[in-house]
Amino acid sequence: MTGQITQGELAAILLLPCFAFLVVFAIYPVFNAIWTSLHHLRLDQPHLGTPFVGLRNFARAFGDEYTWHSIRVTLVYTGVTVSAQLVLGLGLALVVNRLVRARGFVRAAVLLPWTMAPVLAGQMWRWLFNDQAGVVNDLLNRTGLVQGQIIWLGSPVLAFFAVTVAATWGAASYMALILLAGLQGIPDDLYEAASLDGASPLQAFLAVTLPLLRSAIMVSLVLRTLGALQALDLPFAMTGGGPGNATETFALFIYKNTFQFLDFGYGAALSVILVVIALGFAGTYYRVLAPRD
Amino acid sequence: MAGRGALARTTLAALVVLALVWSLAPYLWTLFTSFKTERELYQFPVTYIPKNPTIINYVHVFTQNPFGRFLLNSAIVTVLSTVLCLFIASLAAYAFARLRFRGREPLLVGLLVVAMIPLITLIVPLYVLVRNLGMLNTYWGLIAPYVTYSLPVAIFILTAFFREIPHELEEAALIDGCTRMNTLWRIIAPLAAPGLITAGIIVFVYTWNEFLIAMTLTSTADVRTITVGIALYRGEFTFPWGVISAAVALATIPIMTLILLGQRLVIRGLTAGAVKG
Repeated sequence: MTGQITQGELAAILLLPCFAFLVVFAIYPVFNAIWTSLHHLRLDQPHLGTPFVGLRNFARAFGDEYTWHSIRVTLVYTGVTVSAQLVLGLGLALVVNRLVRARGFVRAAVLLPWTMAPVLAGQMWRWLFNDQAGVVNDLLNRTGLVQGQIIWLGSPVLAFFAVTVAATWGAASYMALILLAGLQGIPDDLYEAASLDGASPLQAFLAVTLPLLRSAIMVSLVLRTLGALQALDLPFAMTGGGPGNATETFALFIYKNTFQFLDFGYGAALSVILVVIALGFAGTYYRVLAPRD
Repeated sequence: MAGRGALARTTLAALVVLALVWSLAPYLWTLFTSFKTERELYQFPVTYIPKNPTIINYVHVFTQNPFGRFLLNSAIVTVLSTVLCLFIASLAAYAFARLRFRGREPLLVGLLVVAMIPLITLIVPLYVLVRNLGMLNTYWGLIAPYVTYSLPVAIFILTAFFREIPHELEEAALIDGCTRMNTLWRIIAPLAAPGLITAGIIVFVYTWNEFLIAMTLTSTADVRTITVGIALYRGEFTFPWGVISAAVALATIPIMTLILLGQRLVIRGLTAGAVKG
């Protein structure tokens, strides 16, 4: 047999197309972003060229109060939405998991928010929170909780709240699905054993469900945190970062610096900072939540 | 005990209703909006079920605006990206699941790190790269990055599915003189069909819903996808909520259909990639 090749050679052939794409469209751009972050590059000032400026873009970023503001917005946004998503997602997953009848239908319904593009969900929620004819104001008025029309997207605090509600709606659905898969992996005998031992449903939940869901929770937290840290579509569509810059996430701030002010060097430095933040979160989660052998 | 069972059932029913309202109500409101006339849109207190249902908004979606074209663009880009991504990912996943080679672990970790890089970091270099390749504002200019950014998740899902396929089948085929490539296509691929469908749905949803890349790399209506088309749409006088709602409703239908067909698989796939081998 002359045509025999080793496993290593076959692996190289099979991996070649995949890594060709990754090197060209992902790895090269990352290094390019790092390179750009160390240079002055403004599209609106081409006569300046692209001189090397060392860490000056980073120094500017750390001295820029808007950077800190948008990082704060992002961290609060991430904290609030991811916790709300975890609680709601767990609730939804537990409800679906308990169902026997109509399970398929309810599960499909719970899946629905995840299927909607964040940028479209942003448009949709902007209409729901509309002050003139929005359904949120209508319901608040009908139930007598509020009189008159609240201008949701016109006040910093309310707009931020509205954006987090919209973000939670879409992603809680995603959390629920991951947690549901985790719940389905827990054998029923464990619950039977717990109930024979006289455990209440709450005790069974704390002693059986939560520990066994650990890895599903870990996965969903990491995925959702990484998603929330780079949130751009939803605030872009819903508020455009406003009013003022109350809902301007870090990713949106980077987007504006890059595409509106055409300051590519500064935008690249900011985006490198975002990478560091994202990897920092992922590493922390892994240390805290990863199963120990 | 009987009383307690009834109470538990009632509580569960109430929770189910809450879950359904939370998940479906915003979308239903959008659907209702899409069938309302301009005048009814701005009534307050609002009407829920449209009083004079009209399909004028849907007519406008297709006649006064290029939304039909946007939907077609999205369909072309998404289908091609998904197929190409699945093909490349299944080759790599086979190597990760079945072959012994040096550098296997570091490459998997590398994939994980690539998957964590925020898109906003890549977007400017990507724009310059795609421009230099002469692919700006083309389908392929969108497809290449979409394939790339979906590869890690597709590989994780497929590797997990490939591992579950019993070794014996493959060994028997190898002994019978099948080459490794042949076993991949004849034995593994058919058995991995659920994995391929799962990964396919997840890649499809991601690509169909993507916004930032599509926004940055396209500039004209003949390439622009539906998410960008809707996000950039502004009416002439008032904000056209009726037309927007109709477009949102239409843009969501393909994804929902797909999910309804494959929901069991999706739920499994979302965690499949996370299981440590």
